[in-house]
Amino acid sequence: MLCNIFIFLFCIWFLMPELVVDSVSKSYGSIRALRNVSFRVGDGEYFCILGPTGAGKTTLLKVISGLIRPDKGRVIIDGVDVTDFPPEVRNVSYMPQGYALFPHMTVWDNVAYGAGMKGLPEEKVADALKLVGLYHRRDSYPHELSGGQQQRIALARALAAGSKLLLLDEPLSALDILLNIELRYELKNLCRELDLTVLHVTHNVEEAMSIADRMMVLRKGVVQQIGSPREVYMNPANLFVANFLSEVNFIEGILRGIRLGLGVIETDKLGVIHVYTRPVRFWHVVVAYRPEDIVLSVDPPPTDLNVFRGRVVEREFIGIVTRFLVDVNGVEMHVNVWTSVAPDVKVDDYVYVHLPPRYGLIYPYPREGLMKAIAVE
Amino acid sequence: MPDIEVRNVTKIYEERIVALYKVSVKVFDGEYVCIIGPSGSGKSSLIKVISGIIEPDEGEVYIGGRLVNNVPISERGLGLVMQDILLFPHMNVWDNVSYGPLVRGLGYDRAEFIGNEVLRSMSLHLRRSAMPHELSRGTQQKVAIARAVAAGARILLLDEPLGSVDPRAAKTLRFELRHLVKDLKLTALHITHNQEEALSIADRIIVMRKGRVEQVGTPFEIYARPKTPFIAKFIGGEASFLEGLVEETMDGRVKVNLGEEHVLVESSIGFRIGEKVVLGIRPEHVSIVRAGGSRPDNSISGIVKEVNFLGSYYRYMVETGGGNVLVKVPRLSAPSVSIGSRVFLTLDRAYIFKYPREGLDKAIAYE
Repeated sequence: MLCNIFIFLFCIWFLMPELVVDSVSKSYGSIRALRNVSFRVGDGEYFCILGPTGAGKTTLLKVISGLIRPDKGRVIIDGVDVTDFPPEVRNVSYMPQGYALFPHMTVWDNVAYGAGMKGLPEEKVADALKLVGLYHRRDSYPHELSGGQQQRIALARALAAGSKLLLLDEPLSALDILLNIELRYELKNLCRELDLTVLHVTHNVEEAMSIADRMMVLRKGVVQQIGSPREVYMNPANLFVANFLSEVNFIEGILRGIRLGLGVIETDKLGVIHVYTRPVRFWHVVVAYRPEDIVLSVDPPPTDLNVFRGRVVEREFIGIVTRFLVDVNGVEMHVNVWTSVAPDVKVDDYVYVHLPPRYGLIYPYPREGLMKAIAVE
Repeated sequence: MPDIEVRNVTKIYEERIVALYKVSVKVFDGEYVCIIGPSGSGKSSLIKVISGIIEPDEGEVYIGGRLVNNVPISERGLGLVMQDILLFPHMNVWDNVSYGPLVRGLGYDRAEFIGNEVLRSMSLHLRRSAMPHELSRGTQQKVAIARAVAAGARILLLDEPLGSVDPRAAKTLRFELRHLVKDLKLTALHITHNQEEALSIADRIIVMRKGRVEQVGTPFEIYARPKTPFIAKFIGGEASFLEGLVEETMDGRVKVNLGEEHVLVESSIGFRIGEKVVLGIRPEHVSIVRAGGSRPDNSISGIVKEVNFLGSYYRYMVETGGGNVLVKVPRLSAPSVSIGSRVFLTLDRAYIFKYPREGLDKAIAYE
């Protein structure tokens, strides 16, 4: 008994989440921006909120920062319900999309502004600028800096305020892709070194997957899934998540039965395909295959299960990966192959297409239809 | 005869900002050429010089073999399509597209014929009555291209045409764009900062940096045989660089001393013994195995510092005696290594460059 109490107290003291968002809803007129959104972010965690435009990501950050009051629900930071608190007392740093640097102020003044409002000493400003490596540009104006440097200044301004909870709204989306890749790891490492808890909003799947400890997929104000990048990618909760995370191929069919864990699915154009599955209670199904899980070959693969002949419709070299579009009995399939092992085939050549049974993901056919279920906008 | 030829063009703004310096470029009839480079590399200035929006300080521009330096924009026979889609917002698709032929005085029947032909070839005929605001960004851009083609342009200058289109739609649209150019036998010069787009769509790529042309070649040539460390980094992405000294040279191979270790690298150019060099290593050209078993030939040792799961592949950051090396491995063949694992890295391929005069950091900086 005493032991249980001790464990309970230990959990409260050490594992208390830094941030809890509890059943938050927010509407703008008839538009429901957030619907009953709940999640927890642990102390020191790097948490990405991923979703397409209009998912409610920015609204959610504004609710947490206190810029918007939710219609319903609570925001709890470090165990304190701050839902009714104004932004300045929440001890949260918010970096808005587009950075919102003051164009008429120098780098120093931009960074000092937030800290000054909080009455923080000047060395905080210098420290923040040194952290992002731009102390030497303190007298420059924002327009004299490159996109990457502006991003770092906005980050320094958020850091100078000294909060342990950092909210970043699309912090990297204005940058060239290579700069985005370089800065995303820099950002994560910096936040880790400073022991910050971070909520990072992005629409860029690769960006979220690269740096998130955990991520949450949001769509039309509704939480779709929360988990580590690997959990979410490997086991997407629904068709939308599967499609949003990669260019999956969908095959509609009727599940005729499951034998020894192997589902037998009758499809319109591919005949019968086999996919490993747990017992399910639906029969009208959609099978999803990620483009990198399909095997292309010139010679027949060493199996008879799920092997088809297909015609190469497109071959697209994009560096590390070569993408193929293959027509299999009227079904167009996207297949991504590592360039170094890509089969030597050209457009209009015929290839073997193998759908390994263990990589198929089975979902019930959505009531609203497949296209609506996966629509990004 | 090339459709577009730029000879020794220089353009300097405010007497100090070098937008273009002695740039020479050829685009042949029917070719799809992409210009790629980071912000400020001079891509847009080059297209503006070709189209006649700005005048070069020096050099000549030829279109279809004719010197056009003094020819006004409207008479250069070019279709210019920008990232900001400039359709007439109060006109529907058909009116936008047929506007060009009408103002050229071709008459209503001819304008209708051309407009319909172009719309059909771009699968836009079912949207002919739609207003621009009713269309997605991608479709609006297709209409903008259709308008340029209907106006008689045989050469398209496309400045980040997919830059404002949703990334997913852009992947489909880039195929359509290439097919359109090829089907209608047009010539296209397409600016992009997106290397995947350029690799996917172009017959040839021109890589620009700081107002100069760094390399011209097919997508595969640029990827497989980068001329400079900058190109190795900029095309393909996330290359690692290790500095070393040439220790020995032998039949097309160079032995490089990386401080604590040595590697043998293939090279078609000669190096002096003792010369300082840079190895450019693409993350997909490195094999990674856990240390413990026998050490593979020509490998370097290191410790895994970071592991990232990126869906279709894993990305490992490995600290070696000569610096950090990035490795990418497809998910299905990922080794069982984790942070702290001692590993051996085998370079399946590496590029060897003379050490850049300005220093490595400056040579690979893209800002």
